[in-house]
Amino acid sequence: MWKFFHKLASPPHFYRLAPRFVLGFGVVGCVLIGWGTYAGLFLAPPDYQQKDAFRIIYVHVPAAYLSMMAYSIMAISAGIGLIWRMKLAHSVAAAAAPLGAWFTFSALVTGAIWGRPMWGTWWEWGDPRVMSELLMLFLYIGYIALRVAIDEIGKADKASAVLALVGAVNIPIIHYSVEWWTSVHQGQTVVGGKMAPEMLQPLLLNILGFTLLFGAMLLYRVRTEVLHRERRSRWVKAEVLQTVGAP
Amino acid sequence: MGEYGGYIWSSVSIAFAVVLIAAVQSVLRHRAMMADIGRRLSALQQENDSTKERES
Repeated sequence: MWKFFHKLASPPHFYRLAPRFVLGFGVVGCVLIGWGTYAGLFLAPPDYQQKDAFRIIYVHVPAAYLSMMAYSIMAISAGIGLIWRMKLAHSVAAAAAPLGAWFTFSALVTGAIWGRPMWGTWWEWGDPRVMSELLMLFLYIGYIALRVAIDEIGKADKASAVLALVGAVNIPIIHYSVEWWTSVHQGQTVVGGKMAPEMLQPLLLNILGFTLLFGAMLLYRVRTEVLHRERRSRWVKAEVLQTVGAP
Repeated sequence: MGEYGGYIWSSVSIAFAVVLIAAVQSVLRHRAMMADIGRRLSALQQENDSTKERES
């Protein structure tokens, strides 16, 4: 087991292994999303309070969940890279940031669209869940901007890892904000068995589908990051020559 | 979906568009990186060839 992980941490080994998972995750993810979205939009019964508007949950919850999951992956990888100086860990952190930012943006926009018919407003500045999620988008943007601003990769890795670790405090705040403070945002629905199985199953399918798609995109982006970092190494030159052809 | 159809379809479209943009961006970035490294290798190869020609 340890031998497998040790080998996986080697950039060339990861680069060659990742494509096998990218295609599988991508195809299965798309199928699950198609199935889950169809069941959620057309087969699930309407909610007794929110009526059909609750169906936004089938895209909003996966996006919100992945926004936090991407940040957790980013912070844990950054921590591993900072402590154990593992090259691949910093690549994973750097690759997770743009994806996390996209999913956070999606969660905020779909949340605003859901808020209009349910709360009577697109945006609620005083809501702790909305504000902590917005803060996470700024953390992602800050992380990406910091990496771009520092030319030397080693320094960029260290500085951005510190920012990612400090910002990780926002994850439990987002998760528990609806319990800790008064919020217009509804409480935890998925955890706690408050949803009827016919409503919950399409949601779980979509969460799994979007997670697999996220995994595929993450692996793809980590490969690009590895390529960038190892561009002067002999194995990358051989890989490029094999892909784009001899100069 | 009645009166909420507009809200539902706009949020579904935006969520899917975001995933599509993220996926396309990932693929394009990888291709650009490959092309960039390929160009550098090509330039290096040309430089080596011209050096050899001058020496001979």
